[in-house]
Amino acid sequence: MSPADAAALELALRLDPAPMALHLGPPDSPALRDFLGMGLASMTVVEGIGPEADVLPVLEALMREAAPQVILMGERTEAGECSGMLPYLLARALGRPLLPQAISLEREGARTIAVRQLPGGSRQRIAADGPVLVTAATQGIKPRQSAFGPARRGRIETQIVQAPEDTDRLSWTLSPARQRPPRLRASSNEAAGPGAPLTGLNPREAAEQIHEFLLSRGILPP
Amino acid sequence: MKRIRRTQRPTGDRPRLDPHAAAPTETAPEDDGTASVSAAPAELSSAAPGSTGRRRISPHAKGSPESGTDRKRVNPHGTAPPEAVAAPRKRVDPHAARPDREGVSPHPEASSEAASGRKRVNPHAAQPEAESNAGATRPRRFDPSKSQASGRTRIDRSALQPDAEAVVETRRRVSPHGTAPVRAARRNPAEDVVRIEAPKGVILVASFADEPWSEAEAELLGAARGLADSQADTAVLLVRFDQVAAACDAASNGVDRLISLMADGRPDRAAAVLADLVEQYQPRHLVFADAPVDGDIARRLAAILGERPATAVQRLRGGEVTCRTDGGRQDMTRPIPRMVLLASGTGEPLQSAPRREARVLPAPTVSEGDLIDLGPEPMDPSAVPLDQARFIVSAGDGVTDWQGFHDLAQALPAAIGGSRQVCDAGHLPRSRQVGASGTLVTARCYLAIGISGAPQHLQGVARCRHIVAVNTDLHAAMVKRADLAIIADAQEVMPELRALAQARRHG
Repeated sequence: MSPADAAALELALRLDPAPMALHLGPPDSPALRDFLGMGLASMTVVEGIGPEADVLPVLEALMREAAPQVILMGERTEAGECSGMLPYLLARALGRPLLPQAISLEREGARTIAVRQLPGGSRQRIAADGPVLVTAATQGIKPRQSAFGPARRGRIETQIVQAPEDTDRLSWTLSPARQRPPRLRASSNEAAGPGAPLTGLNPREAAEQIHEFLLSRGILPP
Repeated sequence: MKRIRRTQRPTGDRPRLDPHAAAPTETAPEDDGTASVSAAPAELSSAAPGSTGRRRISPHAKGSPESGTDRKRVNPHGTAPPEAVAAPRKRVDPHAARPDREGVSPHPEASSEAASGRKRVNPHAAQPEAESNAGATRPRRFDPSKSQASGRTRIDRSALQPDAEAVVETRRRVSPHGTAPVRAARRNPAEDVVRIEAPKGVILVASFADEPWSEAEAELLGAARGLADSQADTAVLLVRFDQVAAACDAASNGVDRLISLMADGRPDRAAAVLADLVEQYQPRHLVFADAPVDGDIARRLAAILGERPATAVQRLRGGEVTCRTDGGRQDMTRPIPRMVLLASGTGEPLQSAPRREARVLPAPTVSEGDLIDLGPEPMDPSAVPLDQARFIVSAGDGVTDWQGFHDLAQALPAAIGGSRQVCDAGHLPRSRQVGASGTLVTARCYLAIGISGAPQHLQGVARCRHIVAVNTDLHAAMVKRADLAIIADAQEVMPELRALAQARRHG
């Protein structure tokens, strides 16, 4: 079960106890039972999608047919190109605003309000009116545990579609991932290395030294 | 073959300083030892029409009766009579001794040839008129205040290009002992600025408020410069969003054009503005960082433009990019697309590259998007998760004033961390423990108060950029490790620092 998908399902379950859950891929994947165990009565699996398929047309057609108010997805997949483009392409195709990296979600009438997790720990509240697409932040959401009973009881309904092949990718070459050696960075003036410890300062002077250091490095805004 | 020179125009029309001609006749009208001499050659460099009254004469017009010029075309291959030229240029053998040389000629046996008006001074000759300077074996310098005509004006023509900065100055040998003021006239080659007037291609780089990793903007610009240099006449356009303080110096990182604008952290507006700029400038490539904020806006733009970007690019070389795919297990190599999102460490910041123009272009208007910004979510800054915090203040066994510590964290503001000992003792929850058995932190700054620095703790802070330590023990490992170490009692320093931080925020 990928953490991104689990986070998206968790957000969905907080909004709606019986959301529509959709999986594109083979129906015998063991992760599907884990999703059901989080509290789903049923989920729909769309078959006929090969590993090199382009899922965007399929997904767009399904979403137009179902027309949900809120579409929730993970930020990116864990297999394949993993470009993270699918939510953005889908939102553009459906004409929906996209609320990125959400760690919490609520609805007020037609408005969806999300709290976006920003790097550095700060958070921002953003909202959009009408039908939206939301991507869930992979970190910052604690998905509920999967329970055995619901996992066993849940139903999997399948649908078969035809997905076009992603022909652009065929000419690209794959190789095992290679870690690059870290680049030796030329040290700037700032990072000249530890200086001598400052002794014999009274507390006021010591605090001023620290304050000056923090200001000069941009840690504290001026 | 005697080289025939074209005649000189009367100097009143366009004073031209000729380095090869006799010095006294050429420089006498202008040479008054002041800065006006530099004005003449500046006319040559300035391309501003009409500003210098420089009349352009078509060299191909036959017998053009332009008044005020007596520039005659001389057939270099013909046998023109020497009277056709007004100022004959005497070729002087530079190695011959000259009769007017004031020093000892290095080649006394060489026969002196026809004199030129050019006075050469032997800097190594004995000085008959030593200045009032004890121990004067110094080379004698020209003092322009003494002999006007003998100053040799040197004109540095290497900067003379259209639209070049008028940095041409004359270099004068000025006696350090004389009364003439010493002029700092040497032109600094580092001030040469490379300019592109009409670029044929544009590489667009976008950077945003908080740098996703250190030197991110410099890396993106290095990669963009590499892409630009693969074709001629390509400019790098840097679009900066919401940057209050510039992340790096644009001109020395290869930026030709610069746009700064504020989008207030709204990704939809930023993407719309970038789409307009792409429409306007038609860049060949778009370079972004693959990071949460940057990548979100880049992908929005890719969806708007219908581009298929290369994400998590690890290598950018020879028209191909290598992207990390399949959950980090595989690398995929493909021909370089229009938009690239670089991972950390892919671009190379430019080292000692020639400065470029970084001309500021007007910022386009930012239209409304489809998102509504409701402002930052209020949250306790000291409760930020440790692995994401940018600034951490951490307590060790040396801290006894816990109220003061928490007040300091609130005032700075900084996230709270602690060593294993204080978490074991219950002063801080286990989620706040920093170290090998706690959290590995990657903060910009780690303020360690009263922490001795056990190896496991130092492991936890290995990736922090700046470390400040306050400790009473001079030989503590944390003090050795810190960039700034203060030997003082933590209990006394904490309230003072809190007061300073509060004064800065509210003052």
